[in-house]
Amino acid sequence: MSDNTRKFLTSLAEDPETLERYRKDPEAVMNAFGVPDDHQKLVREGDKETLAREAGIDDNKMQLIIL
Amino acid sequence: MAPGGRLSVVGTGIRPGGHLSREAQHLLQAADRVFCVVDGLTLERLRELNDRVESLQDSYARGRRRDDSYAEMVRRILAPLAEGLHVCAAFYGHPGVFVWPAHEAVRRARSAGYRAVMYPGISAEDCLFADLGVDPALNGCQSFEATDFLLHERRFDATAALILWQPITLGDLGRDAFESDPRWVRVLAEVLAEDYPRDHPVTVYEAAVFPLDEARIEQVPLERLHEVRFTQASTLYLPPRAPPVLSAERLRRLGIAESDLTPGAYQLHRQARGSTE
Ligand SMILES: C[S@@+](CC[C@H](N)C(=O)[O-])C[C@H]1O[C@@H](n2cnc3c(N)ncnc32)[C@H](O)[C@@H]1O
Repeated sequence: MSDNTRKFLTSLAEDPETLERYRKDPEAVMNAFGVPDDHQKLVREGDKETLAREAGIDDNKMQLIIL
Repeated sequence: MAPGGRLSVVGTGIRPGGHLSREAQHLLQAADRVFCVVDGLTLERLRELNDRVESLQDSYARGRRRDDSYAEMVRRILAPLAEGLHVCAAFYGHPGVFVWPAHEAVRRARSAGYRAVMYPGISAEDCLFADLGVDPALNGCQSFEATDFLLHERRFDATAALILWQPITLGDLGRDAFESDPRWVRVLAEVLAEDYPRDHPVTVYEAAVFPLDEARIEQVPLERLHEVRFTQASTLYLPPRAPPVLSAERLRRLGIAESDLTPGAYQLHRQARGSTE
């Protein structure tokens, strides 16, 4: 589990400027957040499930139907 | 009724954290208890704001009727009111848009004499307007729950936009599964083909939630709708078949001619584009 990875993901979700910077240069942004190498690999591979687990994020696969 | 018992229902929006309003943050911080139906990253945010956060996800179970899950959610949300606590219930999106337990909890709390307030959030439909570049004013806009739309006689307007929510539940007769039945999707497409051309574009839309995701914006001709894969996040958007027709009868009643009208820029745009936007 990595706090840095979690901070990286939450910042990306809530700050469009960070997201724009990440689009241009993913590695630089991940390094700035201190995302460990193995997690950077998960990001590159798009393995969201493992990534969320590694970042200590619960309920990643949630039920969306509430009607 | 315990004095002090109070319910605030907030929406957390679609983008985790980014769509969380200031007022929602204040309420989430101030509440004695937080119950939520939100994604994992939002859950993280809520835990930063309050250390008594309880996810309601465990009220769901495959094979369990959804309405039983919702009843349980409402019970869990309301229980602390009797102890005089301030409860905040947080739902992803807008808490009052296609969410049964949120409105039900407000109704029940009020009828038991508690103060209960719902605060709006950013819904999937709000994201759709932004991502697909459509303004509901342009042609008008109708929203239906997909199964409810299919099962009932509706006099909807094919010259306005049509949004169908939760198509994943099409064919879920027992309200206990989370998968659509392609046969129902085919019948839905046939019903729609009574009002639209068979190749009318249907957009399967999913706003990006997880930060590394892009929105899913997939266009499919109406007659091939049954071939697409829906997820729980899918929403269907159908542009109008054609622009609306000016009513000669209304002009007569108003005592004016078409040449007296000053069309708005949006109306000119609508006429120029024809339809299918
Ligand atoms: C029970 S409704 C809840 C809607 C939510 N309260 C809101 O304000 O958006 C669930 C349906 O909302 C739509 N929805 C939820 N998340 C979505 C997303 N990320 N993108 C597009 N539509 C979404 C889908 O039609 C889904 O089946």
